[in-house]
Amino acid sequence: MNCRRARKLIYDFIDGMIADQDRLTLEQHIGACSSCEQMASGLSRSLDLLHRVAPEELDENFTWKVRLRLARERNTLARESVSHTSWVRSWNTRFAFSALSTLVVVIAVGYFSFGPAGVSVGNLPASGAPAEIAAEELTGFLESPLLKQSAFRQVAKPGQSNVARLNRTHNFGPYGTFTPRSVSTGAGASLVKSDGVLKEDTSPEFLTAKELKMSDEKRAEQFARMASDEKQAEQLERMVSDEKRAEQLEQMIVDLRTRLEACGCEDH
Amino acid sequence: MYADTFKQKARLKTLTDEELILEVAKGNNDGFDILVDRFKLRLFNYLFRMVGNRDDAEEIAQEAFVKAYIHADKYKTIAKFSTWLYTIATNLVRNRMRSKKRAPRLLSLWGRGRDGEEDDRPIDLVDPGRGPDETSNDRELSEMINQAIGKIPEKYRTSFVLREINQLSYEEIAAATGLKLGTVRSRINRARNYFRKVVEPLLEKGVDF
Repeated sequence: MNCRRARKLIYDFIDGMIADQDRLTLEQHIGACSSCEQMASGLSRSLDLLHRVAPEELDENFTWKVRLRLARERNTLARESVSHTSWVRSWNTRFAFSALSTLVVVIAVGYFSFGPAGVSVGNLPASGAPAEIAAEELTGFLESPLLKQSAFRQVAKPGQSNVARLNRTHNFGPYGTFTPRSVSTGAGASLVKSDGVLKEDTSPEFLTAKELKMSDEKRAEQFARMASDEKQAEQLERMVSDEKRAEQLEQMIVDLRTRLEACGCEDH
Repeated sequence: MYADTFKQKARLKTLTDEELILEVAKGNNDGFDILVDRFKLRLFNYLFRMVGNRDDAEEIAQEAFVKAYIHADKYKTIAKFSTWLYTIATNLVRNRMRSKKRAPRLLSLWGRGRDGEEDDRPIDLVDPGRGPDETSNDRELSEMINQAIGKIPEKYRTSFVLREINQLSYEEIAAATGLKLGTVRSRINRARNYFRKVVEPLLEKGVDF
């Protein structure tokens, strides 16, 4: 047997795949060849060392991290699919959003012009110069989530006292009363009263009608995100292991028993 | 309600890996949890020995499971689930290695040496003040092993780790790496020799682990 053949058999021996006859031949060769003997010995000892190393331990929260990562990944995929669907770009969708916005404005204008309780633009309680509410700037709080982010704004007229306008309370019938939080200067900025001093309103919670009208696609993406987040939350809830749920349930039962014992109600 | 859930989970635990991933493809998330629990340690150890540090290994392991979940519908039962999972993980490691090579300013995944190239420098003992024959701590041994494996060229390292750490068969390694059986054997043996050459000097110093 030559060394080349012997080395191949050494590997077979390591893998436990050597035939008995070859094993005998190999042992004879190794006994006579120091080079092959060194190789066999070195391989055997080094691999034995490798196999003795204990496996690395893993963070016990690993499975939870996978779930969270999965939820994020699915959120991203949902956002991407919404932004690329023809539903967002369809004329029907844009028409629907525009129609809804217009409907709200029409209802609001009609109510203020012809509605009961004498609430109209001209009859608002005056304090200083009458405030003029431009129809195109007016949106209302309705049940529809579409308009939840909208807010009442008033367009300041030149010469009007902005502080007076901020103090005025308006009655919008079934939509309730409203005291403007901010006043639009009509130049893209808005002012808010704080401690009697007017300063720029940097609050992100109010959207102008212009902001409402624009970006139907962004709105659609936002709703998709909201829907997706809710679905994600539901799915994550379902993915909670039963053992954890059982533990929680057990804890709830223990808490309830403790409370019952405390009030002496346990026998009821 | 919980009794039914427990029964379902108990039933799922009796399924094979392949049956579980098919359940996942149907939308059964409990099956996915069981698969993660079954394979997380094996996958993590494979990746830890491949990339050399825990953080990267954990991140790639998470990514591999997420990809397995998302593409569960693409799993074909002709291969074992474990093989499929290792394939995903191996591809992720390769992609990382490639992106690290394209950005040479970044540290290599190993933090020393150059990926894909033989590194002949001797292994640094964790505590040079202590002789190798005094090294008996598991952590130090693990670190030494990591350094030794890191010196194996990357193209040999994959097959070597799958064989020697994860105890996969040659056929499974061939399936996971996309290599021919003969190529797998050849690479494993070359890697074994690299490993031997690195560790032997320590053994000759009388290290008794």
